[in-house]
Amino acid sequence: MDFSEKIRSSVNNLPTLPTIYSQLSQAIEDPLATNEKIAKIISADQTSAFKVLKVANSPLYGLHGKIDSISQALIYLGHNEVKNIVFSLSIMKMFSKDKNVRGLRPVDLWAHSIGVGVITRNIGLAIGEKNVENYFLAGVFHDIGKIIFLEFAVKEYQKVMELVIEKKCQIKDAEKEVFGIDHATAGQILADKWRIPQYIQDIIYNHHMGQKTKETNTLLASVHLGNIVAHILGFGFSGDNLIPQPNPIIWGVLKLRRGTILSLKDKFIDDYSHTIKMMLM
Amino acid sequence: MDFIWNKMATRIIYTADIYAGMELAESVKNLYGQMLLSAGTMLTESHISLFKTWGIEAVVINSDEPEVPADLTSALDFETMTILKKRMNWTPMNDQEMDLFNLAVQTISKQK
Repeated sequence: MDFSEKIRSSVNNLPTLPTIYSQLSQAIEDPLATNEKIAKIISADQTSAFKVLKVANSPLYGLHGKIDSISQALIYLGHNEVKNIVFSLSIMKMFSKDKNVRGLRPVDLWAHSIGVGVITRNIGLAIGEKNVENYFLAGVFHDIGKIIFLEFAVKEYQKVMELVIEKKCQIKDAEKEVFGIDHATAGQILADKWRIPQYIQDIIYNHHMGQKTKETNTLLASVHLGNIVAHILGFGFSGDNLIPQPNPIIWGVLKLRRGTILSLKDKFIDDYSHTIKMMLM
Repeated sequence: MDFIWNKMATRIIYTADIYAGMELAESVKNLYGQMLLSAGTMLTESHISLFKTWGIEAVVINSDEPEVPADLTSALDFETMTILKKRMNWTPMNDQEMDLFNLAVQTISKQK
């Protein structure tokens, strides 16, 4: 069995998505479900509920401490955004925290992912995107394939890290050499198994290229840029510290003015430092 | 910052890209601040091999047509350039990519 098959079968043995998430998704899709009913589902898991409140009050959403109940979070943030936060938190809980390889720890990888989520959401707001509720989640999940590798092939991942240092190459190229697939493909296998929404699957699979077939969209372009900015600012650690080159196609859809990214630097740093504490601690 | 130079007439250049006949716009110093070559020196082939021996990664030369946009140069110094060169192997092509470059320069300068 080669590695890509090993990863595939390990992912297939993973439990299904946490019940809280599927119950929540169902309730949100039900036009008759009230806020109270949705709040009740979340509150059934006290740890999740507590963390959702902390995240909802973080500077990322600009509501600084105004939210003191899950019902309020649902009103101010919207059903989907709350669902996204629950989703991120439950997935982080599912994977081991101690599968370290030299130079890369899951906590740093999550910190990087949260950093990309925070930056992606801010880019979405900066370009005037009306609906940014999926931007944070898309950023958080872009590197889920690396978590899969660490979870199921931690020894082999050590080799990946050694190759990165030895060849000064990007981590995805080292992964292909060791596993035959990179983390974008590994992530896609998981996304497929869990039937994660198609737009997230597209992000997981295409975040390096910043385009799908010959096109891109504002969400994909924002994650692509968010990943580059997170590398520049040193948010967490994703396995290599090379600053990826942007695919020029993204500038056409993002239409960012000169200076916008620089002017957002402090907001990125502030949101990041708060949000990682809320989500990881 | 170790040096500030005339933005219009100088540019920073990697040692590998230097050719004989270029004129140093800034003195070349080693890590301890000792002067190795003074500003105004006309570079020769032997200087270029000396730079390699000394581990000098980049120098500032006089130029009529600066390749590096003016606002870039204000924050640059050798140490920052050295770190940046290891992490970024592409050249900014537009305003937005210049923003990314400047963000990297700001971040690295602060970390030093």
